[in-house]
Amino acid sequence: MNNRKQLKVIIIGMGKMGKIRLDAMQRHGGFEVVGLCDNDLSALQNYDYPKFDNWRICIEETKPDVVVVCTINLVIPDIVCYALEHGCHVFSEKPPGRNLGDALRMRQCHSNASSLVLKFGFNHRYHNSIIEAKALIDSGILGKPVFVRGVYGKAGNTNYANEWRNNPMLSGGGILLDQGIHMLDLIRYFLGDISEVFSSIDNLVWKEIPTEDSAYIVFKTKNGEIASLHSTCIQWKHKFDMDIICDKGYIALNGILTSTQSYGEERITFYKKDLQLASGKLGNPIEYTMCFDTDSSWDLEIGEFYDSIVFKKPVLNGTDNDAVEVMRLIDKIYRNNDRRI
Amino acid sequence: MLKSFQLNEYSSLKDVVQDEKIAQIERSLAKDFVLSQMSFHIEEFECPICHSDEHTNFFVKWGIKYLRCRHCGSIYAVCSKSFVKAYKEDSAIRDFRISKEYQDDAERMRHTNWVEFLDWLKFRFFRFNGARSNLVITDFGNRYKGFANLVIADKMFRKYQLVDSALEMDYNVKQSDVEAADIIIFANRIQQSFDPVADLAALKPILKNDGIIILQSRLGSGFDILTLKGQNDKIFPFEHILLPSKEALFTILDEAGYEILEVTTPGNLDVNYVYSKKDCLLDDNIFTKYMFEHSSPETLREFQRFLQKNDLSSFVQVIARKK
Repeated sequence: MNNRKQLKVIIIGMGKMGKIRLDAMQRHGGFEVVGLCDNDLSALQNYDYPKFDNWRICIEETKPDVVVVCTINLVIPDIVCYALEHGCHVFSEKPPGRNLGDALRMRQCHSNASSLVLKFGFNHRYHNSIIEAKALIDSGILGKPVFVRGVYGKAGNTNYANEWRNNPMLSGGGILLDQGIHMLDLIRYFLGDISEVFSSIDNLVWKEIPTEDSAYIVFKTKNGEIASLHSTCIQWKHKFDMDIICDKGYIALNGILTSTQSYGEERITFYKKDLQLASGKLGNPIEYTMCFDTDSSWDLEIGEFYDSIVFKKPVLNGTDNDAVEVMRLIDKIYRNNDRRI
Repeated sequence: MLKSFQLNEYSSLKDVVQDEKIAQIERSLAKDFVLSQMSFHIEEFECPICHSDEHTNFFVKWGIKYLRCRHCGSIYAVCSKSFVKAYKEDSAIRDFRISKEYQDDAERMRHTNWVEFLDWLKFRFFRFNGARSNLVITDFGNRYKGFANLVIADKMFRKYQLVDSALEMDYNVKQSDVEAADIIIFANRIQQSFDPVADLAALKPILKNDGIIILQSRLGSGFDILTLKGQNDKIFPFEHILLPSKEALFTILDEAGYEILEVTTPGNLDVNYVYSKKDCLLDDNIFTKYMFEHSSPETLREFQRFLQKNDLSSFVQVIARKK
């Protein structure tokens, strides 16, 4: 029997992410779904919950404790602010709007309703390999991270040019804002705030789309740590790789578990530097690898959100500050490349 | 439970962790003791884990019969508690293990492993409990002074408590007198237990609520154990009287009141053990015999990696906490 306090929740936007969030909340057991909303009602036909095609009416009529926002980027700030103004806790998908202005607006709304929880879905922080990497770094076994090198690539598809994600009025940006933002968030997670950015934002292959197909960025923190990120939809396969070089060792994150498993097995490999040749071979230290075949990230993320509402625990990941800082970086990168949207 | 697989990538097949001469002396002392206790017959008994009385004869070593439970797959020796108690207290074995010769060999062969283990221990504690220091660690039955000294010297630990160990150190303490620990190391203890559930349950009062227990054991479902049966030099009475299967280990921990956080089989030596005995493999074990006779070191290393990754090595490491 489920004894958890039940939070009344609505989900706005029942595309892929809405379904994933619904499943996670049902597994959690602490959420009572009181409404689903999508501007395309046919997306709701397989559900027995009250259905809405207008998010304002949905919020007003259902009076939920929690609003989960899984819509296109354009409307995220309006819904988040409206929900906060109506006394609802909010979980919103990333990106936090289309631009820095959107993120700042949502933070301001939240500061006017600070007793409410606002959390953004920077979901990668809850993947097992990322959790392990953070624990490794925190343990100090490998010393201090000094360099992060990330590649996050997508295959594209035959309809790629026509996807809403590549309509800047709806999305606000291209592959960097859509997918690279996860890795950007992880770079901040591992290294802290970024002070300098050098970048090249390009359309190397998809010349006809208004948003970038490739973002190559070098970051520097105020303490001098360096990071690089290549976010691209012209990898022609799905790829997630991140190297974290520390002063006493190294961490490699390869692959990330998704429902389709198209980014491969999720693994973390690490080794300590071995200049004394404990392994017996120069340049070939003893490596440790952990592989994961279960993606519990959605459950952990929604669990943290629930705990922050019910047990007043702090939001650890995906805070409004995380949202603003990551959007500040993206804003700077786009402006530097004359991609201001 | 965190479903993870841990592999350790070495640049070559990992060598043994004990000089063969030392291993032979240890085995021979154990054998002398076992043979001296063989004056009366003991009835076969039920599986110490699932209590099924259905079993197959697995092998006989030095006159001691090992059975394999048909129900849970665990392997156990037919012997009495008093034999095992006397074995643990036998002065010849005990004196040899605390001798300079034995300790020096361990220091030489295992130092790197100990450093790795200590790093791993810290990493896993941080993983499940966050960054902390001033930890209390209780180590059961450790027979290596070198490892104890490494822990004592590590600033992360405030207190090292050595329980039920032959080592003569200032850190020895009775189980009834220990301070509740952040970490309990329970290595190679299940293999000498007649009631593993009770033994593990008895640790709960001396483990903090958010503390973790690190359990290491040989597994009755591991590759070298099932392949070599009685030919396995590393398995002998009364050092090993219970080899639970992986599934049985889950049962033990559950019944003892623990939540399993992580299970891995990071063993490195299954393939080495079998390779060293490949001439003893039975003729009906055709595939294994063929593989060990015809495979390159690279192939065998890859096979060990496969065992590690798929929880099929005979060395298991479990992290658990109180439910």
